[in-house]
Amino acid sequence: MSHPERAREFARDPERVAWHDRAVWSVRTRRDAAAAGVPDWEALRETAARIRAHTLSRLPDYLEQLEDRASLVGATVHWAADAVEHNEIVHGILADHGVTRVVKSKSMLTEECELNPYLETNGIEVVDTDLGERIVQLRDEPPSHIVMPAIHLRREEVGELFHQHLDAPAGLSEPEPLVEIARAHLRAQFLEAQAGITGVNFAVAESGGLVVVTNEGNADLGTALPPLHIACMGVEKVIPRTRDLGVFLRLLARSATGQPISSYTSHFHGPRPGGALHLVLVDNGRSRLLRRESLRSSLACIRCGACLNTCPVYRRSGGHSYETPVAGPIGSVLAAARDIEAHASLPSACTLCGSCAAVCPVKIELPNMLRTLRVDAVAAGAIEPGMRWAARLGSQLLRRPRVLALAVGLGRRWLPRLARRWLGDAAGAGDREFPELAGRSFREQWRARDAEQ
Amino acid sequence: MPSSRGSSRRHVLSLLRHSAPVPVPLPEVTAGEATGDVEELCHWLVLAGAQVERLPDERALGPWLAHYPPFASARRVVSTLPDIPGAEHAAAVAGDPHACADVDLAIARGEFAVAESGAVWLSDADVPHHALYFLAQHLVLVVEAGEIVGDLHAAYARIERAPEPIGARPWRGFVAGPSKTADIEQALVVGAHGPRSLLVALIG
Repeated sequence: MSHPERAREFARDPERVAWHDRAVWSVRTRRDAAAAGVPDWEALRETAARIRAHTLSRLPDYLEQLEDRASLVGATVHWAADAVEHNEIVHGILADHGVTRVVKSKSMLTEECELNPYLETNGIEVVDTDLGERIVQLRDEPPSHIVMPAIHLRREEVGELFHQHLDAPAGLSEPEPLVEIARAHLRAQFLEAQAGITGVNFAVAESGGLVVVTNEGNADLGTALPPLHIACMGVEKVIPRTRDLGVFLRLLARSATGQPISSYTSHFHGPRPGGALHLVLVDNGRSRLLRRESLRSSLACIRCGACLNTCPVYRRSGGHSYETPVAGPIGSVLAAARDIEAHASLPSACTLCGSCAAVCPVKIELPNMLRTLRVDAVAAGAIEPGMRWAARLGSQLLRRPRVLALAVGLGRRWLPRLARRWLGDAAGAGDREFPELAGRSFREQWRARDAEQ
Repeated sequence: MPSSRGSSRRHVLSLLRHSAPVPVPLPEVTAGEATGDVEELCHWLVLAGAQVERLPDERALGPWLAHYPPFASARRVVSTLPDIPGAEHAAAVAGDPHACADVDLAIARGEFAVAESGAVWLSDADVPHHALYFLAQHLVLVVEAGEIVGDLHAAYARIERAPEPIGARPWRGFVAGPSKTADIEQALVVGAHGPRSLLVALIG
């Protein structure tokens, strides 16, 4: 299904759309306040973007250094060319250790690779331990936001879900008792788990350290208790030096939730005493992205979610309308760059308002990338026939001034009526009026201005 | 030890090498603010749901804790600091980290704090494994009031300068509040899976 079709489904419940919009926007306003509290915010963004650009220009060197240093502190390093190989490696490690129960903290990479279904078909039970991720896992649906996976759900729906799966009393909808029920459930999972899988926020080449950030402490419980820790990361997550963490961590939580820093920022160097640590480095299309100059800096993303929170399209269409592991502007870029035919509608799910680029902590030029990917979609012949014909018509008109003048004359009379009819039932446009047209066209005004002079 | 699939390692590295853009320089990072303001630290800690208590010296902690509800109601207290009445030494939970499952309150040292972030750097060599910080129902961290840096730049500069390299221990980290979540309708709830409360005792 295309993005407009899925967005229309979400828009069928206007109350939910309005609530989702408000909830997500409130996070954006918290981000604004936090950013305003840091006097050198813009310099920080610039430094972060330059560290990433440098690292991307020497990625193989830093990855080899990371491998070397991580091995020195006791980690076993694996390389995966694609999602399939990543899943096989993770399964292989688990099988070697005889593991049948795994706890997993949030990792967009494992979502991207669809690790959970792979492990489940191989007889391994995977429990997502971030509360939001556990909620969507119990509902058998993907996360709708990279930082707030269950942001599309109301408390009553969570209460009903916990009633079905976790023996919560019927009708419970207060967050505090619901979290208490999840706490008891998940702590039991942590204590019984035989292995913990985590993502990686930053990997430090210089020390071989893996940095993982959470508010709940779930990545720490998941790695402290079981004897086996598997950390999975895309190759772009490496940074050169320990001190670079200061730059990225000052930006990350402020951009994500408006907190100065998350509750827990853990630095793993090797396995816990008596345990084993495996690190899986995954390419899965990243080297291809690195080659395209116009899209390259999308690899600088630190997955804060700020571009989702600010996006007027995301806020009103919901994360599931993107049908990708990462939603919103950055998700549209990553998915469309990977497979334009499958995600041809995503680059157009954007008003080019530029808000995402303005809030991005690593200054990714998301609107430019989405425009580039629109060209890709046309080149691949992957856009809908209606859009293709409209674009062709537009191109013909713009090349012929006289025909254009004629079309504008006709259009000025019919456009408002047609627009109301065509857009009337489109997502989010039902209650909007076509703006009042000026009395005279631009050409007429220009001619009148010439005549006056 | 690289993976047995050495071919993927070579393959990925060569793909990345062939895709590499023109090298650009690595920028220098600011040294940051070496000294931090205690009020700023307290502000952020409290905002994050922690409690801050200023005590004249370490010996004052034991008597003060007697009136601290999470301590008063705790059945099992584990501490790396001496002279806490009724507390077991952290060595009692060495070995299997599951031994921390019934710890009601853990007391440990923070090496320094970061004012701008409201965060405490944990590197207590007497904590046998990081399960203690996370499985305990309540956490108390003891930090010298003189050990406050301004921001994370200064924090990492200090970590880089320390005689023991950061990689010398398997776990180190910043703690900046109790465990919390906002995953149900953006409502902030303290006590997700880890400690339900955090007390930072500033000494001196």
